[in-house]
Amino acid sequence: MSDDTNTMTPNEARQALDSADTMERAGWRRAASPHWVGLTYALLFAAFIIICGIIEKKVFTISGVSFSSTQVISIAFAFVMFPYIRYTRAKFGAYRSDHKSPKGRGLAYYSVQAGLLALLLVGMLIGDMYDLIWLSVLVGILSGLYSYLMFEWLRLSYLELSREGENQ
Amino acid sequence: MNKTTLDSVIHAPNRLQICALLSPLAEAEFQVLRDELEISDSVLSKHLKKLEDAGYVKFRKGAMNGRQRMWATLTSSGRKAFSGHVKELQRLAAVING
Repeated sequence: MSDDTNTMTPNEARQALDSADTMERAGWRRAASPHWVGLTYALLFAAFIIICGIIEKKVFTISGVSFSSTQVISIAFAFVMFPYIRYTRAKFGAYRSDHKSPKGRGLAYYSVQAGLLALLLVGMLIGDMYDLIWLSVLVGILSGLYSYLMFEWLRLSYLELSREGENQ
Repeated sequence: MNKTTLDSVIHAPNRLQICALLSPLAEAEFQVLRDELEISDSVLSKHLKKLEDAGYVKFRKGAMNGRQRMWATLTSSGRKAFSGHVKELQRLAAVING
């Protein structure tokens, strides 16, 4: 290929486009993490909701600040989940964020937090009203399943993009 | 031969490939770029430096298992320049069919 940016033949342009396309597909392939990553996220997520629902409700006081058992579990969950996400990203050396702007990322983060909190509150409320442990387990399993399906859907869409135009 | 408005920084084949690989990703590690492009560390560093100087790529250092790792991100101006460059290549390539 000519180093001169002022002149380029159509064949050279086609070659450059093909090589860029190959690399872009490699990027999509790298963005798709293996199954087990989604599975472990889902298991952690389900375990968190189940534990919150079935644990005995207590209040702990540390240095004059009161924490409910649910809050303690939520903090412990954050301490496990966020380093784990960082670890999986570092392990595979590449990841995709579907929200590139800080505003979009913030919105996605708070939406997930709000959804999680709503699920927890509904689970705890029904659990307190009817004292049904199995309900917390059911909500946990359904939430885990939902998060796994979401992860898998994203993974498959990335893989599909990595194969797009492969045989052209 | 056709007159073009190609981006002189992205024009080099390896730099075009780096931008293409980074375009669907939020971040990629140095090692991933090297493995996909199949080039040496020194050649990759040289190209990344040129992209960084143009403001198209930025870096972050992170540690894993006690080892320093470098992560590269395509900046918004890098994405814009890459997209413009690809559009221009498409325009040029269309001459074959047209």
